Amino acid sequence: MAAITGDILKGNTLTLILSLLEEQPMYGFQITREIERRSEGTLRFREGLLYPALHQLEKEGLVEAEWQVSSQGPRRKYYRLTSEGRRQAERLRRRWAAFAGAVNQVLGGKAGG
Amino acid sequence: MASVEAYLDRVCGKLRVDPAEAEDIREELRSHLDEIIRERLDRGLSEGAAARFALAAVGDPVKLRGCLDRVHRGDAWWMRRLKGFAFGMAMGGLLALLLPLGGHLEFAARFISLPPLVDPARLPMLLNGLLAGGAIGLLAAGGRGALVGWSAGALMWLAESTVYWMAQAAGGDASSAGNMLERVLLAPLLGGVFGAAVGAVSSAVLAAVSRVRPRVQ
Repeated sequence: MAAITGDILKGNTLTLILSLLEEQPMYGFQITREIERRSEGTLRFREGLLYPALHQLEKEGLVEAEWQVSSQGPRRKYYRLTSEGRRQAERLRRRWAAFAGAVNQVLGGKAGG
Repeated sequence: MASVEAYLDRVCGKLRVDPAEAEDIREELRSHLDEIIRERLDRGLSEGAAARFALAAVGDPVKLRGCLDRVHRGDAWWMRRLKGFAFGMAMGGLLALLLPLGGHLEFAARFISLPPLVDPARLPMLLNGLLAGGAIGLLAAGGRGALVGWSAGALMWLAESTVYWMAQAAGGDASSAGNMLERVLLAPLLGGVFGAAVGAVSSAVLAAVSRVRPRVQ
């Protein structure tokens, strides 16, 4: 499947980021690679633009950031969810499920193409 | 690596944030670029090719700088407070015109009255509403608008009514002072409602006009 990089991804970036951070704290590079890996390369970020999103989440109090020294390379800035971030992740996931369900209903059996 | 530093200069050199924050952003981006370069070197690319790949993956520096600027610029603290003051004044003035809370706590029978805006008798009430609303908006701009507004409104009205009651009592007007005592007891409740409404609305408006979503793609 061709990589998805446009508006569909843009509209759901925060959902993806918050959902990943629900599992464990991650740094930016790790987030981009994890999204690519789990989507088998279908979802691709313009990687630099991940950072405005992370910084916005930090400003809104949904994530907290902390620099950590890495034994294998450069220092890494890890992001972790705050309690409000967890609630927001849950809200966004429910919204996505409702949206995806509705789209599937409209598409019927044709979604698999 | 020169090309990486030149890229970071283009992104961070003109960011409109304080230098410490710009340096933090620069280090984070450099860390990301280094990770990509290491990944590509491990896959057999030359150093130059790995750097070119990394810069292409991270994207247009001008566009990235624009996105970071939009997120980080925001309002200075004093501008945020100023806006809070203005929104609070607008909300307080509007409430004072619609509800007789801005003067000396007239009661339920008048709550649904909609007096003419130009009635000179309403001007002190309007002035009270504007000033109290502005002060509440200013305080609520720091966050927790409804709670801060409730507390500030309740305290303001309690203080005002207490001073008024003490003046009546000191003047020897016992019956008037008795009525005022009831008002003093009710004042925090009414002031709290006024303050919570002003604080919640002004901070919500402030948040709405300040919110900038990054355009991530």
